[in-house]
Amino acid sequence: MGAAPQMSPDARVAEFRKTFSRAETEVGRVIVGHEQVIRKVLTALFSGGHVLVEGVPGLGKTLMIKTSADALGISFKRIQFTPDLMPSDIIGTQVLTESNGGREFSFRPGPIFAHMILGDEINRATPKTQSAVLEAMEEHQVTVFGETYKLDVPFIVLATQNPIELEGTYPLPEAQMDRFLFKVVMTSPKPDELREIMKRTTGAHMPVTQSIFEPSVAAKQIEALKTLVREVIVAEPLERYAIAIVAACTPNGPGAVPEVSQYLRFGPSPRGLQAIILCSKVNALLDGRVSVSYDDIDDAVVPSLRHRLLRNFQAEAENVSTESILEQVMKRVKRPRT
Amino acid sequence: MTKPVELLGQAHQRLALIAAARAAVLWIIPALAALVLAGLFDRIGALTWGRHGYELADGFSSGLRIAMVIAGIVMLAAGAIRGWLAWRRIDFVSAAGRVDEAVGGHQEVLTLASLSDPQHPLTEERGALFPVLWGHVSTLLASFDPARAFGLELGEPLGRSSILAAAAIVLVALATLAMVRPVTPDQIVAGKLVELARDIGNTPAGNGPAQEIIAATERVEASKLPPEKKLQQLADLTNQLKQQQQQEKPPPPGKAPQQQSAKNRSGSSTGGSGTGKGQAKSAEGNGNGGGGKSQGAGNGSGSGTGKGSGHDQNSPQDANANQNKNQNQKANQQLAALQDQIAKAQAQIQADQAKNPGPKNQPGGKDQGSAYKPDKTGNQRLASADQSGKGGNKMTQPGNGGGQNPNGPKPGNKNATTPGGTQGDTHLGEFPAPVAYQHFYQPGEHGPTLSIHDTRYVLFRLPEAIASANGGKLMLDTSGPRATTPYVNVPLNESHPLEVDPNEQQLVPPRYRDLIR
Repeated sequence: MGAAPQMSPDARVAEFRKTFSRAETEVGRVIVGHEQVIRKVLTALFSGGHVLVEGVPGLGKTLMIKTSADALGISFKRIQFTPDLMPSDIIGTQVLTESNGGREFSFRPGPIFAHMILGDEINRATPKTQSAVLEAMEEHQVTVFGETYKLDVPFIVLATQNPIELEGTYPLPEAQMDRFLFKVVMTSPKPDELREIMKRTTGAHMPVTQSIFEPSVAAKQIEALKTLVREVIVAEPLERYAIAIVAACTPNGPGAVPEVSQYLRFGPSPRGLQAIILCSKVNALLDGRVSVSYDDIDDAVVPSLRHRLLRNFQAEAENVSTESILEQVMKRVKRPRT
Repeated sequence: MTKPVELLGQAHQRLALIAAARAAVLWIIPALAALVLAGLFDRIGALTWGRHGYELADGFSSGLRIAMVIAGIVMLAAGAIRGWLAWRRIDFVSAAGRVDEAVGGHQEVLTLASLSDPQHPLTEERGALFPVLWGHVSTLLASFDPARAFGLELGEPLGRSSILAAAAIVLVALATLAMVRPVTPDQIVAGKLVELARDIGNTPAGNGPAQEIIAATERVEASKLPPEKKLQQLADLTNQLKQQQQQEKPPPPGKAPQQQSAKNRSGSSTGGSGTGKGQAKSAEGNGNGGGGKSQGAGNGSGSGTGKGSGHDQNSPQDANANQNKNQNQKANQQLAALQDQIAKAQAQIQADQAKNPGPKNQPGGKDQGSAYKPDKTGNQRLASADQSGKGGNKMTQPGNGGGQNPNGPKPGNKNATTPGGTQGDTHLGEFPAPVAYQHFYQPGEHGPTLSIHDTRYVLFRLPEAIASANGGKLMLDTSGPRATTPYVNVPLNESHPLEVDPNEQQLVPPRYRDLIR
């Protein structure tokens, strides 16, 4: 796989599909259900983005993320966010060490230095700590005592957030929410899924995930696949369609739909458009195509934009969700007439 | 090997053509409907409202026809413009989008077209995966046929166009219905006059008079024109026709053939000579109130010389002469018929006036215009426009100077050999011989020019009964106006105390004028 760039384009596309499918299969050995969540997590990985996973406790958020890292053969670190967590606890700090009869400061990397980071219950940390993580997410580097340290690639942060028990939490500000490529919501399993979960977790043999990559080359292979994603072609009419969707979500802007102007305070930033396009490209590759289709864009809209829409008081009072607003947007925005 | 770009180009051309046709068709049907309706408007009118005795208001028919022609042309132009715009609106990429939908290409065809548009090839944006895309599109288009995939399918625009056309037709029909009105009798007569005038206009010599007749008819037909003006117009028209008829009469026998007619003849020629002699007999008449005698005598002689009396039966000139003769004969017939119609029109106007005397014509009213105005005796006479009675009426007085009336023998001329009889000029105790001459010539009939115009008495026969139109019963018509002035055919006594203006014209009840034959 190290010679991926020398492969033919057709072979690269086929390799991407195969790799993605194997990763989904390996994660699915442990995680029951949640196929769309797993797909979105892997999509964010190959797109170079981060994912905010929201769900009530006990749904397997942490297990799913850890299993994904195991399946890809990349390093994984878990950070449990608490109110007393400090930024240095995440990014690392200089410590005084003795060596060769002398003392010197040496950098001790924090848990942020890994390919896949699980920020569990990120809304329980203080904004100061949250911002430290979010800076690393955006810059892919950290600066400690004047020295900059590059983070490993691939680098993906999967933060979880508990929508209940909000007392004593620090909800992520909009600017920080905007840095997540997707926000996926884990829902309660269905009865047949529960039965399967019961079997897998209470039986004698626990399912084990096999890595699809050799740990030594996994990062390179993932980076090669990320390069392929960026090469997927988007036609000009489809670009206009994605732009129209984003514009329609901007309250009181040109092309805004009435529901948006009624229920939203702010719309998505350009990062929302980037997320839509990147997700669409992955969707196209997964379908064996090298060009984005309208369906690819439609599939990417909700996970890409749902956390970027800031509802107003009326929407919260009427319990209008961002998903329902996006649904109205999708109905109203017409595909460019071809 | 499929060539996607060429195939997309063919699809582009076909889709542009279809789009243009569909856009243009929307306006073509209403445009054609408007033009056909404008062309057949008169015939449709004759078959519908015309058959039931209605007509359209003045100028509405021609205005509506012009409007429909303009609307048709405008719609044709709109259809052409829409078609052209639709043609231009279909570009290469949008056509590829249609192809993509047809083959289910998940926008791969569209993406390829956006990067391979011959007008704007984006070669730098193709990337490393473009060959994969090309291969996919080639596979998709392997069995694609633009002509089969994109049918013309004009049903939907034709349906919408038909609805539009039907709406336009209904609109025109409603407008026509609103403007239709019953035809007045004088308009019927006017229409016949125009038809006859047009027939006359088809002859070589009748074009000029026909135009004048049509113009005069239109003036007469104008509803706002006062009745006496209409009568005046018709009288002028009658005189004009008489002059026309006289001009077209063949030269009298004994008169030399004209020089021009023999100009191109060959052969021996003999001079011709002729003399004409006429003598006006003494005229004597009685004039009430004026009373007078006049005597006039005159001699006239004429001679003419000419050459070229040669005659060639086989010459083309002779054939032309025969043709001209036939044409003249036909023209005479038409002129006679036209005079008949004009007389009917005059009678109709008088009848209308008698039935519907306007406020201006009321006795004692302030009449500013000319109208029939009752005099002291209750008789109607033509009053002049200024109510002075001095102007306007320039009728020749009977017995007032013979020889001035070119229309025939003068009253009191007993020796006149007019086949028309006594012309109503009778004396006391003499009962006028009812000579059955016909004043209204039938087409093709010939006879001397007679006119009851300016005559004092008219002999007519009242019908015994008038057949009912629908009931089949015979009954006397007592609904019509009755003359207040005795219209007996017995001449008045010379010493009759009745004060009657010698210029009075005894009017025949108009409704009977048509019956005098």
